[in-house]
Amino acid sequence: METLRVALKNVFRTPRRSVLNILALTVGVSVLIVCLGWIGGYHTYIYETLIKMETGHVQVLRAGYYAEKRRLPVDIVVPDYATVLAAVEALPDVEAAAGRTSFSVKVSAGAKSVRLIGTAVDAEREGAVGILDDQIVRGVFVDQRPGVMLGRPLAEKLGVDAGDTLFLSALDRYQVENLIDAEVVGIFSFGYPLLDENVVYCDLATANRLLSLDDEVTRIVVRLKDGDRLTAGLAAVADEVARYGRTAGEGDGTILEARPWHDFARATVSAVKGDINGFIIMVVIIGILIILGILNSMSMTVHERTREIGTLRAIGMRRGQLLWMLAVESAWLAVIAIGISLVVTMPVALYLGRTGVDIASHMPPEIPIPFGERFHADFAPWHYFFSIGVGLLTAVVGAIVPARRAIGVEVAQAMRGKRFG
Amino acid sequence: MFFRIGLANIRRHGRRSALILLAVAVSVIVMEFMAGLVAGMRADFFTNLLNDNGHVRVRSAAVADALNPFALDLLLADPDSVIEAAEAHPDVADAESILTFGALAVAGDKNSPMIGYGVDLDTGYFTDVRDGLVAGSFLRRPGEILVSESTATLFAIGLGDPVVLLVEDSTGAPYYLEYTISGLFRSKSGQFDDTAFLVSMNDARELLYVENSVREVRVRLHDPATADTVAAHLRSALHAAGAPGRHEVETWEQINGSMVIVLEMFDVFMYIINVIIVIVAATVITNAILMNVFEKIREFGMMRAIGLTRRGQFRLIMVEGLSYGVVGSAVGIVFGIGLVLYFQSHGISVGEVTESLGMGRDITTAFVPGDAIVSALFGMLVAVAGSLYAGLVATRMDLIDTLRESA
Repeated sequence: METLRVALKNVFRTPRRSVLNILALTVGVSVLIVCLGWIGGYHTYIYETLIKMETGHVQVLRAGYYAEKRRLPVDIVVPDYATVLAAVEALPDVEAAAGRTSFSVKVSAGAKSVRLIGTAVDAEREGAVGILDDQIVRGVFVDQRPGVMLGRPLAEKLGVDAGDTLFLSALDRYQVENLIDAEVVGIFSFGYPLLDENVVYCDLATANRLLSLDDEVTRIVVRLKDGDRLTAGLAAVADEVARYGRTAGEGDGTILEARPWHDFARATVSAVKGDINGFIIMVVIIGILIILGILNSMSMTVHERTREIGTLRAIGMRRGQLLWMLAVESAWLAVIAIGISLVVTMPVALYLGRTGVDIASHMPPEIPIPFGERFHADFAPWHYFFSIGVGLLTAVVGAIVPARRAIGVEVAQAMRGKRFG
Repeated sequence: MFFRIGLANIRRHGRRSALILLAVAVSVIVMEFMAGLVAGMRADFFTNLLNDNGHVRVRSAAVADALNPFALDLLLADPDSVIEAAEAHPDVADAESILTFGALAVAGDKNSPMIGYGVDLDTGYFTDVRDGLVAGSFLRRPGEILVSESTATLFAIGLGDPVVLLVEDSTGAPYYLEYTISGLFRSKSGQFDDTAFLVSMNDARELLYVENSVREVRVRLHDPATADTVAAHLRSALHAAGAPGRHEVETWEQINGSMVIVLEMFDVFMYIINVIIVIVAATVITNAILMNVFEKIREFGMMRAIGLTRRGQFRLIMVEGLSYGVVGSAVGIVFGIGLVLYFQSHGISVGEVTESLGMGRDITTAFVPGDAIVSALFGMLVAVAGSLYAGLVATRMDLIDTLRESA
């Protein structure tokens, strides 16, 4: 206790030096807290939004589909949908699963037509894996009655609304062009241009009629009970679909495969990783500068207080106690800096977390990252604990070398006036 | 003399000097690298993207809000008059027509919706495609098609194989023609590779059953800064030709608005990082220089006693700080330029996000001598600013106090 008090007094013996070190530490800890919260927002909002909106946690595909997914093949399908679905849903890691079929479709309304990406959903189950049913702004979701759902901007351009009829034409699984009519049952709005303007949703029955599919889908989207256990969940689903493959008599069971969600969101993941890497580099550079600054300060401290250190050793202070005292002095710098950082970053964290930042309106619509109406950072307690730990560690690491030099001081020489450090 | 003393003092305080020099050098390295990154992105944008997209674009006014931007009723029926009007302006280097359309590419038992580009056989655009040819050659004659290497892999086809393009022509009827693959390319953008193919302009017109029409006219300028002037000239020329409101004339800033926004955001981001790093470096530098000064306070006292003025003392401290700045900046700029040159040739992989803006997966830095000078000067400024504070503190002390002060 006495050491703590003495160390604190020593910090204020050289106020200018201490203030500059505290300033550097404050900037470093504040930047780290804000960066961690910002990155937390990426995971909580952007990744979660993508998972709910589009990818799920895991997807089950027919082997070979992923390599050809850009041509939206409807001849590479997950067979025996009901059986595979039931098997996946029964897994303890799985919260829900639902099939989807992706296809290229031309949508016509009167004289207007446009080619879009069609996505057929399992009307009864889609609500458990996605959020499409929450985005309906007019009309109903396809679980109420079969038909198609259009994004609001697309519906406006086509000049249709809920209740109107559209014509859908596509090449079916036999490469034959089919044409069917379908009712627009709902208008949706994700606030995400890539979906709102380029995708038409329908129920599986409508798509099966158009594409000549039976009990088949192009993918099964799986939602896990715990998204943080992605690796375990993915392995469980992969094992189950492999077992299905062997049971179905397909040799080593490679008819189906399971893929993690980030295989379907590469652009978003690469953008977030780029940001994270940039943050890490910046924090490391700041950390190195702070360590060197404190190392320099503490070296000067040891140099100036050589006689004092010698006297303390002479009257009985052990090397370990001396090391501890110098380390605590440095830690006090960090403690003060951390206190200031918390005061400074708390309102920032509250603003970023509750109010958020409108990024989407400033970002180009082509960027495939669903920022939502407002991007919210997500500050967790461990961000603060981690930043406090890093701040303390940085300060103590900076003191180690000069502290070790101090404990090597020869008592007699030090009292005589020979300086060290 | 003051500089000699300053440099001698650098050598005197070995470890501390190394720390100050390192802090200055790190600031300069970060500034130079960030400047190089922004310059590289701008260079990629201006030399690659702009050169391939043109500095001014003329297309139908209805395209922007169209349901289907590839609809054939949204073509320019009179591209020759547009090209003539463009080339009449002295700032225009060249103008060329491009016919973009949607098609279903069919090969074997596979098909995929893709975007086709009908181009002149001697087109000055699509340099990324031309430079990225991995097999065969660019279009040489009618009946040929250029596809990407990834498309060829998807369809399991190669040089000389046929590809059928199925479209809905200008009469609304389905129509198809077969083309022979003349070349395979790998551009910087995976997204472009996955979705695009090239055919000759005449082939595209034949396929779509459009006589002389094109999707757009791209205009390249001698100087991109004159885009607004040229665009205004084109608007009035087209208006005078009796086609008011039918054409949309856009400058490169409007065409590539997304990329311009991203570059501006990156500028802000770079600025924030620089400020943070410089603040931390400045505290370290100021602290170290303060220690130097207080260590020599008795020495300063002696010098003041024998006639050195406060101003002279201040100048001595400032010169020492400047010396640190010069040496530290020199070290920093060497490493900073080295980093920039390395990533200029090796690139930094950023993944798929930049592809959505029409750029490649890799971004490169660019060395700009002016940026290096600014970064070096800024490093010196940081060191001098740190010395300023130390100098003010030291010169405020009384002579007696400085003589009494023990180092």
